[in-house]
Amino acid sequence: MKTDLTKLDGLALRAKLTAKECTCGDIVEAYLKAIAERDGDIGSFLFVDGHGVHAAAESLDARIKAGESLPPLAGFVVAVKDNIAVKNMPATAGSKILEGYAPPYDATVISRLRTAGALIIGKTNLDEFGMGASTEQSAFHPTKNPHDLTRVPGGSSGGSAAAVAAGFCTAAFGTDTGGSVRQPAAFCGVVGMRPTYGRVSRYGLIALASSMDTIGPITRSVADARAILSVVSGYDGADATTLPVARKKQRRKRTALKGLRIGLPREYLEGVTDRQVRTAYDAFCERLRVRGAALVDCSLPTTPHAIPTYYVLMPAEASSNLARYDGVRFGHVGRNDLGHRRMYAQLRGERFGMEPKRRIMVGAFTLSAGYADRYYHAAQRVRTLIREDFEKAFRNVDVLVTPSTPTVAFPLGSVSDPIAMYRQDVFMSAASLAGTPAISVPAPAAGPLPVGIQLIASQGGDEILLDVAEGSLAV
Amino acid sequence: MKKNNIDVDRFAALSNLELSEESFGPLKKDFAAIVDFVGELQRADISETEATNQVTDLENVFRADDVVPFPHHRAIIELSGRRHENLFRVPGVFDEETPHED
Repeated sequence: MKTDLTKLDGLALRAKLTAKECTCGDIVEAYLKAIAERDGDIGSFLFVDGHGVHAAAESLDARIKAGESLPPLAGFVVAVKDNIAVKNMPATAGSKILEGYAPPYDATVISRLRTAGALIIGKTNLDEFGMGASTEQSAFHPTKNPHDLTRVPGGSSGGSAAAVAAGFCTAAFGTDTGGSVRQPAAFCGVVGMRPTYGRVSRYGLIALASSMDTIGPITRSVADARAILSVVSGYDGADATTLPVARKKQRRKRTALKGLRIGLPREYLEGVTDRQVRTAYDAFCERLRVRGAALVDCSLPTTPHAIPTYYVLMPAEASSNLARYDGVRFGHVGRNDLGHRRMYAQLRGERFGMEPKRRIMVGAFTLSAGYADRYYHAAQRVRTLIREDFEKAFRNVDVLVTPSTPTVAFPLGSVSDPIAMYRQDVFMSAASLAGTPAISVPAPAAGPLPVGIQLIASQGGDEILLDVAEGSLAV
Repeated sequence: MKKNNIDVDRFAALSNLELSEESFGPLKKDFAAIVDFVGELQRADISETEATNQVTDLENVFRADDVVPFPHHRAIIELSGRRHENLFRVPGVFDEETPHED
């Protein structure tokens, strides 16, 4: 029986290319057919580059046929969140203010992917500028969860997670500022990783909150996430925040869990009221224990302050980053018959959605004279406490394990209050504030809807995180 | 905005956002609720704590002050819907009657 290529992970597709059981053209064709048949219902893409990906596949097939060795990501067909620059493809960031903008260059992650043989299939939907946890805040259309079309896929990288879960691509890039890779990965039953801050270049990313923004892979397997990260990680002269050298020496891959100490932070568990999530989490912890890990109770006492802290710092940085959308340089052009101040304000008032407006105004408020000490500077100090919590915890454990989200994917339209939406990041934002790596993996056999389990390591501990994730999911 | 006594119009102006009548009401209500919500961080004891500005402890990054060719200049100018030769065309800034709001 013919294998359904859309069900395989990237390394399995690469093995098929090695065995000459399929071509890159076959893989691309299978994805484009699936998109044509089903993405009308799901809405994961904002732009599909059928012509470009076909041409790139033909070119790679010709090189393979000519006897070139397979590049490391041959067989990977990757979708890209629409806030990352891909040369000559639209980059709207899910916003009407950037409608019509197509950057003339590739982001560093894209040029590194291309060098490694990956093919780019298109751009995926997101909450406007990454501001949301459901992808309902896209200015274009909401994305639906492939497991249940009445529910959200999570956000803000909901288009990327839904595209991977639906079999429209091998992998996707998302961006994670406060959980936007991990939360949709959890809701869609796929793997999503936020790398250590500074490990992956953000050159070419449309900035949201620069002290927390990261680009991370969303994949069908942990092994694929590892393969993509190994290609895109590392210093980039175009991004001064990339780390100059590997923080820890590369180790041999370790998937046996025996001897590892895994922390269960009690403040996270107090917030879990959903029975399906709790059952899946407990079963996952038992799985870790049976495989030899020592489970250790631990405390991160500043956790309850993480969401308010995040929602001071993120809007403050966003209000600054989004000031560049002025109706002159990118996307939609402002009215020339108004003076420059009105042109600027009128365009921004008309083309930004409600959530960016909320956050820009809150950011302007928390940074303004008379309020900055009470909000912005206080939040920076609470951020120190959050970092210290993690530093103390990691003196005693190798990795922390928590549920990724307090509930499974919620119904479309059911969360209309902005603060209730902010609380969706409750298990995510502390790691973002601390700059630590974290990964969400699907809990095995969780039930009708996926449940994500989050693993968090100390800064630079990306490899051990991948090892534990792979070891815990191995059959 | 009585609860917080914050002038929302002022922050809309500082944000360079001209708000329609239908969006102003909901934004005003949400703004008050969000400010109350984030105010919860005041409960943390930060009396002995320094601020975190950067999480990976990188020092300032300097490079040589050399001019290097930038390949995308023309392509970036051409992205603008309104340009003159190799410049962006913008409304004049010196003869504008609109007063500075802040």
